[in-house]
Amino acid sequence: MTGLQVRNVSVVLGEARVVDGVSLVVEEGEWLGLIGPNGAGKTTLLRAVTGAVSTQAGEIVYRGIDLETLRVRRRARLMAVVPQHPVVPWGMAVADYVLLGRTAHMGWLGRETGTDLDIAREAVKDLGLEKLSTRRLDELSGGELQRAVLARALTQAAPLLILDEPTSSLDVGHGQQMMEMVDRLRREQDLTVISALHDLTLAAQFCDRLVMMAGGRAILEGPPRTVITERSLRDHYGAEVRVLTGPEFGVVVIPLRSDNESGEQPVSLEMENR
Amino acid sequence: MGRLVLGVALGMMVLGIALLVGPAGLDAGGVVTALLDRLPFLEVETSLSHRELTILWEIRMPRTVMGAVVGATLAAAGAAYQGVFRNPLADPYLLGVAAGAGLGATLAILLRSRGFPSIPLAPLAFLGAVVGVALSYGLSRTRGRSQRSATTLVLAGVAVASFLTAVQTFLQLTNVGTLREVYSWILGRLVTVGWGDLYAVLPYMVASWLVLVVFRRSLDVMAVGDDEAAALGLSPRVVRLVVVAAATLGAAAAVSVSGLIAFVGIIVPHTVRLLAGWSYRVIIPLSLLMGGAFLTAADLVARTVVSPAELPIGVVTAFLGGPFFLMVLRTSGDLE
Repeated sequence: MTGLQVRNVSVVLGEARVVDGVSLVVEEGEWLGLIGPNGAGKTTLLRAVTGAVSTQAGEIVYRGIDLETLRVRRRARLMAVVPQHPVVPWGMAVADYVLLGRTAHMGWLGRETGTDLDIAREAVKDLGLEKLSTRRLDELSGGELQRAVLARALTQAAPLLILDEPTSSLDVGHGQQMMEMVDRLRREQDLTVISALHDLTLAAQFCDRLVMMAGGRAILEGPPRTVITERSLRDHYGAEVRVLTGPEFGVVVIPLRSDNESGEQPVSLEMENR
Repeated sequence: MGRLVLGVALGMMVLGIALLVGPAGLDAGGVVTALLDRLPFLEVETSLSHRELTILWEIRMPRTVMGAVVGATLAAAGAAYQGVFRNPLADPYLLGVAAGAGLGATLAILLRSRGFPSIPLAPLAFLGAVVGVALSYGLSRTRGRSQRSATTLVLAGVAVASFLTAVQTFLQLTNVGTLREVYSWILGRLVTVGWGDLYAVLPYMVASWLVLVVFRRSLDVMAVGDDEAAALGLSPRVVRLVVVAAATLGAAAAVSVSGLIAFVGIIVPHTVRLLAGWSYRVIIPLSLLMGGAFLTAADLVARTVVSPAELPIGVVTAFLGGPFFLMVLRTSGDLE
């Protein structure tokens, strides 16, 4: 069965038509990457899917259910969201934060059950946060925080995982670990993943399929190699790049400096300091 | 759990002291035995005379209980407002509660001086507070749904409060004879009330406590912001509406009998936060307890320091609360 269907969706914010008639399909178990230059409408499209902004036209259907008709509670059981800039509440411990993911499964007034606690503990373990579980959220590093947010999303036990730029605040190592973690979890738990991604190389390595957006529209769609090309990046990003492809690294995007000077050698600082 | 027990113990202690101390100089042993005598299945002979018993049960007791419930309500309402608006400076008088109540009280005092001596003050103050909040809420709804946020409501509250305060000040200044009485009300005081006043406002306050206690976990979820709360399955609009309505109802009932007692709604929840952490599951119940204890203690000071005269309790809460809060802030580190 087809997972998520976005049909001809438009979103207007103020005067601007930020998403303009986008249609796309995400199959069950697939990882779809949304790429595109800044302001292309990626985040807004994701917010339309999560219900954070209302659509002006079109419909968004998941497993045959029109998402617009769902109350927040039902929706939260179907999809979990990892925002780009999560709000970090003052003083909250990691374990408590992760447990917030169970909200949609508890009564409004309810207490967490043993099951809720088990699921939260499991997620903490899955993301290697055991040692940090009593630490305060506002004392975590960027990578640790991102893992806590992902753990919270996992405890929602929702089949659809939505990630907005999950690696944008992480360095290359942590970004890679984050993507690998998402990839492992989606295989283990049969998740369907949609993510907006900034880093084209990571997007190409991990996503099954990419959709490139520009100016609020979905421009290109297909396997990473067919979407990330020198031509598409020039046309829609205004970027001069080399795109290398190879069996061991997939697709690599190398930005070219317009007045590239070659033949320079770096000075070793260690030598200088001696 | 240990903190709750400690809070209850502290509250009981303050209540006990408040009952023992007063201008009538009741014998401590007599008060204790009189209290024990009221317990079911317990027959104790008290040394208090009939007149002293009347002072204890009809004057000191209702006033002490009033102080406790007003303090509890204001502190819990403050904590709830801070949670729901995610603003550490939000207080129970936000959204025009104080200004509305002030206008209602001024009107009552004015009408009394103009030949309607039977006009009651508390119901008019209560009505004023509710009208103030209703105006703020109604005005904030006039903005389009997509442009509305928690801030819209707060800004509407600021505008309504300024307007109502302007009307109140105008009335006050054009009727100089009432100036003193109005001013004394605004500073806040727990005048010697009887049980009747207490019974009139207690249902609103108890209803407000119940709702806030029930919604304390939702307030924890609200800490991650509207978008994320919604993504977690909680409707921030519904939570905000219910919690604000409950807190406001309680605060309106409190100010209608006590005047505008400043500080309790800000100082107490933040002290609780610094001592017991971030979670509203702890903050709401502890604010109820500590708020009750704090205001009872403040009232004790208010009626003993310049005895037989009384200080306005609002002056005491600010005078004691300010330094105390700074001390807690210094010793327990960060707030934001």
